[in-house]
Amino acid sequence: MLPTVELGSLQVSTHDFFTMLGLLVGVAWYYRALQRDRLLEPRIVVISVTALLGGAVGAHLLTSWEFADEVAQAGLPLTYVLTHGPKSILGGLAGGYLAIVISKRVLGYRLSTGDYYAATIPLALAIGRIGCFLAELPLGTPTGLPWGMTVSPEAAAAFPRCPGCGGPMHPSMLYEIGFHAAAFGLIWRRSPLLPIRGDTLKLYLLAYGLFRFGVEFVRGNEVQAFGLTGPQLVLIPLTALLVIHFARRLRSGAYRLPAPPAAQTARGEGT
Amino acid sequence: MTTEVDPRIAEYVRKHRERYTPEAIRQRLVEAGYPAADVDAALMAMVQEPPRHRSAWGTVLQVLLITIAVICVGALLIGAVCIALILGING
Repeated sequence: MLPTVELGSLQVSTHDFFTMLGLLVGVAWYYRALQRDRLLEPRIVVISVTALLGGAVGAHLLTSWEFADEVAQAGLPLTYVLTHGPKSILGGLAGGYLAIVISKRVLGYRLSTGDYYAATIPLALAIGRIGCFLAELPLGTPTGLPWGMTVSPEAAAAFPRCPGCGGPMHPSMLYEIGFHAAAFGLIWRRSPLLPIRGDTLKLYLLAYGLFRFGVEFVRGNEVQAFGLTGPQLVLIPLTALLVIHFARRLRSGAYRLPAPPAAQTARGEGT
Repeated sequence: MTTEVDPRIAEYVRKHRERYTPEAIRQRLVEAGYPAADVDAALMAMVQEPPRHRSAWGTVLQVLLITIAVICVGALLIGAVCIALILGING
């Protein structure tokens, strides 16, 4: 496919190129939406920069433990895992979310801006996943379905582990691109999907958690325990927290706004 | 230029704007019989209100946070360059 992108005389890995492009487009979309609603201020900039840093750290940390032994055996410093190790979207989302919560608490910023991320994140992820797909990362488990895809022998040889590389595989990256593109379209056109600030983002995260849990069955990732992959094991507590959150919201009737004073009375007093 | 806002609408918006989205607040007020134009004016006026007062501690922590963030990014970059150099020498 397209392992590298040429920018003039510069040759960049396709995966890194689309990751950066996704981040830049996402940040631009986020700031534009905040500016439209006149919410862009220095604290928001600090919070979003912290979110990016938290996301970067979380993306590396979630998978780094799997390679820590190999790096130590090779005599490399453990920081090598952080700078060169694999990255996880789930770790990035969790790290970014945590960074936002902490930085908002520290800065005393109370207004929820989560809904502004609700369109930004799927947009950035859809773009980023194009890089994963074009870079021929291991696609998925073997399949006989008509849309199964193969990778070139050269690309297959470059991966330490690719159980399905001998034949057609589920194009799991395309499944993810489809999900994020659909989520972006829905949120962009219909947001906010829920009346409480920040809950549209949480709804998207819940939907992605459930979708990703299902996709992992055809993703071809290594099974870690109980027949489940590492991401699936991480997703169980995270999605459970979100399910509890929405169950509590629904049970308390929080999505029904308190009644305002009667309009007739207001008019009567005003005349 | 100032727009006169129905005080009941203003109070309702002020009370609920941190928890609920402007769209939900607008819909609830319009459903209750308030003119959409009055509700929009109130929501617009709220947006134009100056931001919440920030304490000196908030400013100090903000500066501290930016400093830590810059140091982290710098350390990551320097660390990556050092590792690349070491690997290059060894390789």
